[in-house]
Amino acid sequence: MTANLRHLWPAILLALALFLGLSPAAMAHGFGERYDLPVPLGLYLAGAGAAVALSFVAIGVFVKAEASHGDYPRFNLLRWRLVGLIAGPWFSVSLRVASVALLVLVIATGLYGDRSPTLNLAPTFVWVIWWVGLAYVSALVGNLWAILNPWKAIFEGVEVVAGWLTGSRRLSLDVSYPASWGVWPGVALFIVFAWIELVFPDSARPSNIAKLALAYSAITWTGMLVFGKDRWLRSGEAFSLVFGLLSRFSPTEVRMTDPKVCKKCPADCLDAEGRCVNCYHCFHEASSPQRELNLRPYGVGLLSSRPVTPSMMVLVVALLATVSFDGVLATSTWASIQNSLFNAFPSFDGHRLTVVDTAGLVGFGAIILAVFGAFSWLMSLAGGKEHTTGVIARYFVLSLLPIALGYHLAHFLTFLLIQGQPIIPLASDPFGRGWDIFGTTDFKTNISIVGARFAWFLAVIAIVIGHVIAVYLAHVVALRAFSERKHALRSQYPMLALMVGYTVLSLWILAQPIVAE
Amino acid sequence: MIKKPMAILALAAVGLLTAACGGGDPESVSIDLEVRGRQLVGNDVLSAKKGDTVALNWTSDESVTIHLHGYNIEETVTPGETTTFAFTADAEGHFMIEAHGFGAADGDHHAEEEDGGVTLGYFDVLPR
Repeated sequence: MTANLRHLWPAILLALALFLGLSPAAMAHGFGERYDLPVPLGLYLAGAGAAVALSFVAIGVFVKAEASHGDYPRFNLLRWRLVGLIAGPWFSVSLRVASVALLVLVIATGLYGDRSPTLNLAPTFVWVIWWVGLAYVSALVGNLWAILNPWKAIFEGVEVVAGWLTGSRRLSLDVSYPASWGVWPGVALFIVFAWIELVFPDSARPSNIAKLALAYSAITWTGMLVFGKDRWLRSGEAFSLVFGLLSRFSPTEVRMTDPKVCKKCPADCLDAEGRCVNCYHCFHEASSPQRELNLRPYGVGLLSSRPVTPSMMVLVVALLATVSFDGVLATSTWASIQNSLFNAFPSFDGHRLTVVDTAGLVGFGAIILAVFGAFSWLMSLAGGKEHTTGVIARYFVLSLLPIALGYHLAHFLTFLLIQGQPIIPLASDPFGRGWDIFGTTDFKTNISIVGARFAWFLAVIAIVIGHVIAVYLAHVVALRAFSERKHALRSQYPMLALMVGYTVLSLWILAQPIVAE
Repeated sequence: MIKKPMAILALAAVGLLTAACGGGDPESVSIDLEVRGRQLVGNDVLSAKKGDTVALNWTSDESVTIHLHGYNIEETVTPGETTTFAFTADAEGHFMIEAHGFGAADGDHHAEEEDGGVTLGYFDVLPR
């Protein structure tokens, strides 16, 4: 299942390297500096202790719990007129126009603006505001990307114009999408993106960002044209998939009150219980009395009643791995591994560091997948072999996401709040030409905006809360997945060990001094 | 069953409190730093506490531009002279100290951008 993917990697990376004309590794990877102080040992141990203790409390609670296939509490925000207005067409159309304008601006500044990453809007906007900031919004608020997606918006605009000319409502060659492809195209594109973010040494160079955005536009529109817009958004558009996954944790959802509406959609939107949740295509098509925009408890969107597809499982594991690897890259432990690998590898024509980091990313992903596979096997055994290892992995992978989210929020808080500030002067002078459109060019970054102690506490609390939610979700899924209650409970001991390990790894990374960016 | 978790939680609370405490009044911190053979002599993690008045007194055996990230102080140090970075440590964090353009003529900024710099060490500002 992953073999497919590993065959793809070298080809994709090679194509990308050729496309960009890889230059020698001159700068550190990524963009923007991190100023985080390591979490003190006492707090690290306290966090780890709390995670273990709360896990035992959770077991105590679950020994008494019953399986629940039932619903969770919801509140329809569309009951409020103001929210109705915001959810209405005018507001979302203006958001989408702004989003398209920003995509065009990023490409324009990337191509024609100043070559320095700090004097050009593109790097700060793409790496800090969009990638890190939108991940926060997706997880904590909701799936904003489903509205903002500029590639979708442009394609729909073209579709409308083409409709006037040809009378056809949809712009697609309607090639049938092979079911066996699952979300593999999205997985491959996400891995390439993660490699660019974490390993590619020139990811901050404005012209590279513009070229990559153009290349991604071409891929996305080709996919939409060949297989249909909605099919590609759910299978190949990496950011719809990733922001969609993160927003499954969020406290908002869109839902159709009448699942019959969903049956008319081309997309397979109905879930195992016959509900139609977060199907944006249907939401768009339906009339307003059938629609709900609900508040719901955090995390319930990750409760699946059936296993996710193998490709979706790999996407989640890839997301977990890249989130953690971003932190691992800056530790002294990685620096020493990097050193020994560096000496073991041939020179690769001056790209040795890139090759070493690529090996690190691939190796780390493989380790995470192997560890998760091993624990899934243990869970399968503990659960009386009711399900195979693969099915177990696909049932439980989503429940690990809150731990990754807790770590992600902790890891990027200071970064977002400090490295996000340059967007204020850059908004006034996006091309680095000395303009002052909004009169904010003189804004100086305030590096004392977050106190270290506040950041430490928030980090540890976010990770411990993520851990508790993860343990809870896994137990609920277990009670649903296993027919025998005894098996469900036993399956959770290996899962709990895995989750404690993952949480402690996350805390450990935060307790390491940063030695590189 | 319940007692053990409670004990661990209590320990956790103690841990949190210990980490949260600290205090004392701001001090003056003066550190002499020597760059020799393109490296910092001695300990490469320097620290102060929030609010301290800091003086980093640099000497070097070679002309070099030294950049304290975050606080964004950048000065050229020439052999035989002491260059002082004087500032108030009002932002907590872990800040890189980078050397650019060893031996380069002053103001040759583009050469510095290309060489990428050498990390001399870090300056940590800890919470008081």
